Amino acid sequence: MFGIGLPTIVGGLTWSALLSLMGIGITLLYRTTKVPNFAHASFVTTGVYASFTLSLLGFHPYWGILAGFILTGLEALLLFYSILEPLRRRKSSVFILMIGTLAFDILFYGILNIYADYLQTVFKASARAVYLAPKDFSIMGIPGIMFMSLGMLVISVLGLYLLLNRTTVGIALKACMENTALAQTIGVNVSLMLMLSWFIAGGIAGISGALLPMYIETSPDIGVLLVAEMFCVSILGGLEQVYGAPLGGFLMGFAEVVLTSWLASEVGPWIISYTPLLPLGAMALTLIFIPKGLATIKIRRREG
Amino acid sequence: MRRRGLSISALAIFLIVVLIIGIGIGYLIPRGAPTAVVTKTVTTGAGTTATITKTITAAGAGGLPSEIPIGVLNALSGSFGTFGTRGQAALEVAEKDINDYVKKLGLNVRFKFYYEDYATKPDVALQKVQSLAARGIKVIVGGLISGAVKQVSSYANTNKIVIIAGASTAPRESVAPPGGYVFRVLPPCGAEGEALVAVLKDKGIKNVAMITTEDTYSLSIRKAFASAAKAAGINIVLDTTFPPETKDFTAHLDALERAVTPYVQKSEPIAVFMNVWENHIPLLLDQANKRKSPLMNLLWIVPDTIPLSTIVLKESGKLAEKVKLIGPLFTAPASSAHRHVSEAVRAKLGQEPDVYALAGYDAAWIAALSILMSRSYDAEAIKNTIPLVSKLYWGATGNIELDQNGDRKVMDQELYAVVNGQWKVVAVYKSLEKSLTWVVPINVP
Repeated sequence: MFGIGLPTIVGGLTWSALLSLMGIGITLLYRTTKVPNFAHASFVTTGVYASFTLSLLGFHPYWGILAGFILTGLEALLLFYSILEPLRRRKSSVFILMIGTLAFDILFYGILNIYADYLQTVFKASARAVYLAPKDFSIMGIPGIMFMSLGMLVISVLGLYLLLNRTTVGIALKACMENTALAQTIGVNVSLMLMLSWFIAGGIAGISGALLPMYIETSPDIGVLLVAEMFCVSILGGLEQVYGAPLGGFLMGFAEVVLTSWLASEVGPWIISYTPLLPLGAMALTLIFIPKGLATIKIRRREG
Repeated sequence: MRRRGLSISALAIFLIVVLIIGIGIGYLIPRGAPTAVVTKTVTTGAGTTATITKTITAAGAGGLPSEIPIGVLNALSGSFGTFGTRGQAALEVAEKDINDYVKKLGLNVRFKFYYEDYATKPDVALQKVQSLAARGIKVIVGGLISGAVKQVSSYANTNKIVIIAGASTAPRESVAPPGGYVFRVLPPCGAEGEALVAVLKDKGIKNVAMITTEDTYSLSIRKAFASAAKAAGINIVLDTTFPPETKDFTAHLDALERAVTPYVQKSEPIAVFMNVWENHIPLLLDQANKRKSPLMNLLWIVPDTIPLSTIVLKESGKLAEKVKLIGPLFTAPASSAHRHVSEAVRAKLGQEPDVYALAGYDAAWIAALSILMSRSYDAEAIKNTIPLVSKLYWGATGNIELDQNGDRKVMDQELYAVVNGQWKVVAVYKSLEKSLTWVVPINVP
């Protein structure tokens, strides 16, 4: 199709799924707390080092999905209880809360760097260039990471849907998303709901991080390098739309991998160097033309 | 009020007494180290055969501090990390050897090395140089790559900090102005391009597709290779670049495959020049292999950042062997100095030191000998002494005569490939004669 081969499509699907997983948490947290969470960068990186550590201990890196989910969920709780909840009780503004997430991210960035050095020293492993794809399986020549990343995305979205629509806790969480003050009035434990949303959002970021080294080379910097793309995915899908992130993720992933490859064949390979401009360009255009994100297009038609 | 007046008087008297005692002590203490003149013909270091004949006034008299600081910058992590680690070990050996040497001479000085990691990041290298300079260090040596040298050269020249780089081989004009405070103990990379082109010519390959990391060093190698290829009549069918932070190579592999496919279909020999860093090779090999790329059936040539890389060997050794990954590395001639450093580094790390590690060792010796010869810890005096010391010095990488720019003049190269799971020298390229000799026969794919 348009001179694009199967490996490129596989790459596009994989990258899209990974970006979607990274974006979901940002959207969920923005929806529940209105805080753009910059600590998402270190959440993803923690997931990376969860799978890397397990692989060093002799486990298959895919066990890192579970470890990444739990560890990063706990990391998100740490952020919530140590910084955000005390600030929220003092009625701090969203801006202050956002700066709090940034401060936490910088702190964890340092911790992850120290941890990488520790792994490098103790295990003599290249902990600053983590690439685990050689340990991946394949089905009919297609790398396992494509199936795993798409599978995890489906499980995450489905799990989130069931939680929010089929459980009492989820309905309480939704109530918090719609109107926190009103939810509190009707007896919803807002603090508990916020805690739950931070754990889930952190956990999903951890899953994406655990999968990343099966596809690209990662390092303690990986979260920082990708944080702009994570926000782009979230904004593209719609910051207010919990299920919008996958839409943004697939648009972004296909633009970065498949569109770039196609443009390179049509215009020239020089264009590949400008791939990093795609997320920022896409975000700018979305903010101008669809400020509420891709997921709102259908809703607006219905309203019309 | 009265009490306050008394205490001020007492304090004044106390200060005057302390001052008088201080003057007395200062007068009685012998000034400086012994002023004896030592005239010796010396053989530097343990087994190092450099011979400097010089009348050296013992420390103190010549204005040398009793502890002479030398800054050491190595990349212990990042894309040059495995080389930097070996470089660090070689520098530690140099520190010990140099101090043994000055002790043997009876000089009342001690060299103290201040080690810093710049993590293969040029901006970090500059921060470390500034930090070392703030501590009064005027001479810095180590495995500085070209990007790092470029970043620090302006600061070094402005602030008179002598830099002796052991891992920079980009053309002089792209890293530092000639004749300044920056010296390089390896020659510029023009010869590397020639060696790679010699391999292609020898194997009858007249086409090559090239991909380059967008950094100072890789871009200069690209230029040197393109120039040598053009002169040899080799056709570059693709010349693409990518930013160093690139993580996904799908689009690049697509572009490379599109470029080589017509030649593969016509059975015309074609090779790939992966002008990248050691951390990129496992990714490119793994991704190309997984997509059953036609690139896996071609010869891959690589720059000098790849041979002896433990990352490449550990993570993609078999695939590297499959594509006959071949890359050049400047070679240090066999000598007792070379053997001594090799043994010492092997004892520390269990690894053979590469040429950058050996060059770092030599850089430290040139720095120390130049400081001793100039008889002062003055950057300008040291800078003016380095060309003479380098000309006389014969160290772990042989003789290091510098050109007018401050770069080493010439050095032969060895070509490495992964053979039976190990990096092996497969050919030797003589830079002066421009001749290629195969040591291990390699059948290209």
